Amino acid sequence: MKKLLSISMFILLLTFAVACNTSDEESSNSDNSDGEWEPDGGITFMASYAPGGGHDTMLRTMSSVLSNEGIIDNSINVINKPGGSAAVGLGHAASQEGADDYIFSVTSSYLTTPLQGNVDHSFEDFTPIARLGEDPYIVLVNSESGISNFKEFEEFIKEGNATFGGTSTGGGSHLLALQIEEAFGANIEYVPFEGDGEVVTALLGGHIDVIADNIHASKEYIENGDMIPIAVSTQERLEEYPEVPTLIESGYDIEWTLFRGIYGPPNMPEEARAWYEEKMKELSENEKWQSEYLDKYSIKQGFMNGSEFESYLTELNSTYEEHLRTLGIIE
Amino acid sequence: MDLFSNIGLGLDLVLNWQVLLLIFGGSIIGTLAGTLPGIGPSAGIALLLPVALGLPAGPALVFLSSIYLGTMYGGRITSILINVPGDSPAIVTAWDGYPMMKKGQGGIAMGISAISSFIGGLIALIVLAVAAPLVSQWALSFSSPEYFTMMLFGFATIASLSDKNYIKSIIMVLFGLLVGMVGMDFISGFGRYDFVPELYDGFDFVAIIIGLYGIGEVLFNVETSFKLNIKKENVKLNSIFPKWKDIKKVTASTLRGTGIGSFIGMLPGAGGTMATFLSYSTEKSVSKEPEKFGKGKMEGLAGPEAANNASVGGALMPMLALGIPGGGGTAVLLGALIVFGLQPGPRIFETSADVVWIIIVGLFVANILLLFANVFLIPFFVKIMYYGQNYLGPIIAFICLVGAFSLSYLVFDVWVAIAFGILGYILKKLDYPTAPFILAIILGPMAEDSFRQSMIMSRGDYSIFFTRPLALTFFILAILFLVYPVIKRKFKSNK
Repeated sequence: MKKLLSISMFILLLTFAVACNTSDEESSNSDNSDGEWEPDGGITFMASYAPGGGHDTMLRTMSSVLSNEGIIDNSINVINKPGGSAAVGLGHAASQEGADDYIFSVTSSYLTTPLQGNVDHSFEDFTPIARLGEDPYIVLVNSESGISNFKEFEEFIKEGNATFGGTSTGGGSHLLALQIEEAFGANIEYVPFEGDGEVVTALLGGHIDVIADNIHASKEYIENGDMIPIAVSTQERLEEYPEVPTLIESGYDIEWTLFRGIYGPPNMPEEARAWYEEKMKELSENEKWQSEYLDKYSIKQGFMNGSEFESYLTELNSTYEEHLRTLGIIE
Repeated sequence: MDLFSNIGLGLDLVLNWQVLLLIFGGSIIGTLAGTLPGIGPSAGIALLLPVALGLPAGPALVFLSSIYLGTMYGGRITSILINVPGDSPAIVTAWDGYPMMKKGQGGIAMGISAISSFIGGLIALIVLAVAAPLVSQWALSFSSPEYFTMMLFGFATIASLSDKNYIKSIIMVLFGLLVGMVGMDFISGFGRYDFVPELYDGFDFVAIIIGLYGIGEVLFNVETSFKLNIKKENVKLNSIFPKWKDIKKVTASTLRGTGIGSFIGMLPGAGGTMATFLSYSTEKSVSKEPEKFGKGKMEGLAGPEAANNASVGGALMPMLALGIPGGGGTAVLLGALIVFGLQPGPRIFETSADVVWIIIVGLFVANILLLFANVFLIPFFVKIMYYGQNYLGPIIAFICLVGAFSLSYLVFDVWVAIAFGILGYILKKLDYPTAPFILAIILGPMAEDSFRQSMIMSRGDYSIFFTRPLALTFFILAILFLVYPVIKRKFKSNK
């Protein structure tokens, strides 16, 4: 019996030791024999949205391609810190200051949430690594709504009674909703949800009228006929849905896509930043990545390195700021 | 779609020694992960995800879902033995399980809860096998107004949980709402009381329960000499297994718990936890001796345990059929499905029938294995407790602190656990109930969010809560639950 007791104590101590080890990693990095920097131990990928959403899918596919294709040998752990239009995630990332074993996915909310003044951090505080692609929005209705084409959609919106679901306040889908509201000259009630899953469910159940989503989150429902695609927010029609018109050709000058990229915590060591940037470049050229992520989720290839990405964001940030100001979200 | 040929397909895939070994390994790992507070289902599955990635999709997902089911069995062990719930659905288990342990009936408590878990888990899996695509539509009919009235119903059940002092219960509910409010509000995007970055996400709920129950109990027992009532004769085999008449006594509770667990467990968010609370208050309401609840009543243990494990099958339905995770554990499973290139959704039953049915049949087998494993583990755990009872205080404190730290490797969570431990001690000393507090932390934020979403949807019209059939049903249930204890008391005093 004493043996069993000591075994169970041993397991507990082991858990403790493993836990300590993980937290100590930051301080115990070693250069390998070539002098090239490499992370020592596991890496954390953080998604600021719930599992099943765009960030989560990207990071999970990324981690599987990186491991299976031998681009990164370290074990990768994907974590989710959903809430507050990525504010929770940004707070978590900020708390990792100086860490070299932690990167996170960024999209429009990474600009809009700080712009609204809800967090003390702005994108300039974090370490740019790479932009990986651009994700178009698709406007969808429930197939039982009686709306089946753009003309009927236009009439419906102009009645001024539509509820429009999206993820988080001031995020990409919210800004698109506001642009539609402005362009159509009709009132739209925007209902914020916590993640893509909830938004899709709300539309499927017929609880809201319209959603704007990234293609992957609703693909399944478009194919089985539960949802009808009404319009896309890109410059040109999408290859996958050639019959779906763009908002621009329908007479509303709205082009709105979501960038998808990777950032590191504040003051990430430069050697680590360069290492991740290199790995991301390798990833974006990988065929598996193109077929399992970009093509599968209808995301346009658009690699940018860290400094390009940062200047792209600086420009975009002032566009967003302008948008939010005109729409009265910020003063 | 033919059910029997599907089950045949699943059986065919499960019945080979490699898959069976994976199910067995997953179940045992899950039980151990569930036993350690702070690990629980989501971390347990996430920790072994890299191992599973090396396997083909079907066996890997069977392995991961066996871990999930195993944690549900494991979570109850520390609840019963040392009053430390490993995860939120195991909180209720501690309310009557730990008092039974203190009475020297720990073995019986573990046996009863293992059997109820088994029955609950099994029936819910049958429901899943027969009706998943159909039943998951039920989850679709739920939206913000339904969630809000369901949360109201949840609050109403607090009334039946607290029979002694209503004022104290109300104070605890308000305090719970305050604690639950900390963190980022996603509807407005503004933070509340988030003075340090660790609080952006709010308090870690598991750190709170580890502190409140585990550390609080240790502190309380420092005053008296902390000894469990385990005598030599209690360790003998015939007194640690439940008797047939005990099992018969709790059959009705188990079945009620199963029903509640299968349906409520399906709802995203607080599914599993809500189900256990609802089952407990249902048992207390229908019982002829409600005053014995919280002091080691078997029905109060069996119902929620059945509900807890039934919610596993329940949560898998919307996960597979709609791609919506019902809780932390299914969220990680959903991630695994996506990594394996499967698209959860209504068509998964056709496009990936092999994977779906290997999971369902595999869980069926895991459930049977887990029952045996858990019953045979009883003597082991009872003996550990017998030999360890003199050192129990330090051991529990150690497990609690390590558990709190391992939640997200933050020392902050250790301080949270200690702070709530001191609070738990004070509350116990002054005889304040903790159930309303815990329930308010869970329900408060969800009630608030769904209320505001409903109000946006209806443009400020309150009738949205009364014009939708399901919402109205929960509203009426809430009123019934509030009025029922009063009527029952009147009825009794008239007699």
